[in-house]
Order: sequence, then structure tokens, then C-alpha cells
Amino acid sequence: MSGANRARGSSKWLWPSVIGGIVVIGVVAIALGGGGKDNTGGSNNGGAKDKIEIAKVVEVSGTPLPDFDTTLNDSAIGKKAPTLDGADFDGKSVTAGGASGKPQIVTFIAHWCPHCQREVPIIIDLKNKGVFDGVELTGVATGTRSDAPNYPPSAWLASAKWDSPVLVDTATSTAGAAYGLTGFPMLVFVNPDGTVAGRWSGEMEPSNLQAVAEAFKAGKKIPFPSN
Amino acid sequence: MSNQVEIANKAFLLLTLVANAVIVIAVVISVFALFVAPVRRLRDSMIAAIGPEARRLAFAVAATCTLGSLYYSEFAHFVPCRLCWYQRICMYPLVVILGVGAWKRAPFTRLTALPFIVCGLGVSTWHFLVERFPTIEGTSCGTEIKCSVPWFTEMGFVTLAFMCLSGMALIATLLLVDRAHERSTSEEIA
Repeated sequence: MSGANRARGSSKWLWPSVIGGIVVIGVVAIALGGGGKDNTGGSNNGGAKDKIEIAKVVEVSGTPLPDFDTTLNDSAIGKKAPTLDGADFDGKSVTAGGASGKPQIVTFIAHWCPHCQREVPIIIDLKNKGVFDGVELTGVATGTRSDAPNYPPSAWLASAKWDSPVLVDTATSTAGAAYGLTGFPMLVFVNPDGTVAGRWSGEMEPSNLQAVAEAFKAGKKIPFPSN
Repeated sequence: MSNQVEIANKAFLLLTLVANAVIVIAVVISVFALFVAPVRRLRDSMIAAIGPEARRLAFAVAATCTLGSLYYSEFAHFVPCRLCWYQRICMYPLVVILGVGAWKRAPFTRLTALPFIVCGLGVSTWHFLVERFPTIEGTSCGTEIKCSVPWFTEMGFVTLAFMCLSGMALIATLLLVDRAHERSTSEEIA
């Protein structure tokens, strides 16, 4: 038997094995995927039926803040933060910003943003530790797109166990535009008198966020990390 | 996520695991074959068995990856990100190159496929790293959707980028087997 013939003979099993393997994989995949259990990432509609993911209207009272550029020398500091009147995923009214008599942190988050996905658990963890006691923490679900990963935001925030109020933004990001949103996540620190104490865009380490929150609560200059 | 997409995810997950198992076995055998005679014989017999069909197998892998990517974009409606598009640009031509190369024994098949494979491996590796460590690309998102959010993650690490990386690596492995088989055949003839 020549080398070529020997090779041809010994590779006879190859394609039946490949096809058999694919059939086995198909059967196992049907068995494993048959439950239709939700996974991480991707569209995640479990339990999110009848939720409002994108608001039709968000009322803005006051002058919009300038677009965010830099935390240090932010031109929005000292300006009045607009009051946002809207609703949460269930249609319950939510108000954020303005003079509420309490320090507020308004957090703009997008469901598809990986940095928001990393920051939200940090905020929740610090909240559970009492770091935000005495602060009104409000999330703003903005930048929502049904054709983007991790949709819908209501399911994402529910699975992350976010229990602070969430204001649902419009398709044109009405709330985000009023606060000069240029990137996600963005945290806006609003003094009890309704003036902006500072804005931060991007992820923040837990220790830094804790130091920032404690200084903000105490009415001190906010020690933003350099980014 | 619909049941149909869940089943597809599991099927492609299993194919990815099989692909990685094949690659790891091939690498281990290749390394040990340098030093151990019985492993060398095992390597040679595997090359003799798989080598004649290696191009067709590589074509089948490229076709499966292409069909998978079309399924996810056209039926599951997962909008491809920028890096996904670059990976598609690398994978789709391989179906034609390897198909023609396999059935017509076209010359320069491996050489033609090489730049697509190298670029595909590079882009998918970068995409996978960006998914695992989003801060590589900065700490905040602009208004455009980033490539660092996977549509789904199976077993904690298998994403579409990892699947593409595995597909590219398996195609490269099969073309190396094809090359080794071609060499051993020409040596036998000589």
C-alpha cells in the first residue's frame, strides 16, 4: 500500500466522526439550551415585561448645565442643577436634581456601557455599607437602545439589586442633555441648595468613591481622583 | 434571550470547547514529538490521517464560523460592533479561499489565507482582551456603543470574540497539519 493510499484509508473515519460529533453537539445543545434560561450580557427580557425602558417625556426645569469636559475646573460647579421630573420603569414619578434640602448624587448610566456595569455594583456595595447615608442617590437610565447588549436596563438594574430611585430618560437623552452628559457613567454631586458640587465621568475605585462621598456629605471640597 | 438563541449559544459553545481541545492536543503532541519517539509516531500517524482532509476541515470551520456570525446578526439581531466587523472581514474570505483550495488543490492556498488568519487572530485576541478588561480602552463610554460589552458570555469566558479566536486558531492548526502532510508526502515520493 502506498503512503497516499495508507493515508486515504486511515482518514476514512474522519468525516463520519466529524458529522457524528456535530450531531452529538446539536443534541447536547438542545438539551442544555432547552430551558431558555437568561444569561449574562445579551438581551435579557426576563421579568421585564410591561416596564417603561425609554420614557416619552422628562420635564426639565432650569438652565441646562454646560457639556461635561473635565472634573477639575468644571464650569458647571456652583451652577443650579436643573430639576428632572420623570418616572421610573414602573411609571412611578421620580424627581432628581434641584434644591431638595439634601445632598444628592445623580448617576447617569447606560445598560450597554461596560464601565457602568462595573460601577453599579461598586455604588450598590458602598450604599449597603452606609457610605451614602444622608444622600439622595438617584440613577438615570439613559442611552437606552433595544439593539444593544444587556437590554433592557430595568432587568439589568434589578439583577444588580439597585434599590435607589431610577429616572428613565427619553430616546433623545433629555435628562442627560440637561446635565451636560458626554460619557457614561456620569456622577453629578448636587448640594442641598441645588448647586452643582462637582461632576465625574467614568469608573471610580471604591476607596475613591467613598472618600468623595464622605467629603461631599460633609460639605467639604470633593477630592476627585485625577483621571 | 429566546430558546432558539440559547440552543445556538450552547451549540457554538460546545464547538468552541471542541476546537480548543483539538488545538491543545495538537500543541501538546507537537511539543512532545520533538523529544519522545512514540509521540513522534503518534504525530505522524495523525498527520497521515487528518492531513489529506485538513483543508476541507479548515473550510468547514470557516464556513461554520461564517454561518454562526450571520445567524447572530441576521436572526438573533445581535448588531455587530466595530471589532466584530473586522473579524468578519478576516473570516468570510477564508470560506472562499479554503473552499477553492480544498476542492481544486489550488496553489498558494495557505499563503493566501495567512494574512487573513494573522489579522483575524490579532483582532479577536484584542477584542477578547477588551471584553475581559474594559479599562484597556479607558474608564468611560462615549455615546457610541463600545466593543467591550459581549452579547452573551457562556461559562464565564466564552464570548463571540473568543469563539472567533478559537475558529481562527483551529483553521491555523489545520493548515499547519496540511503543510506537514504535504511535506511528508513529497518526502515519501522523493
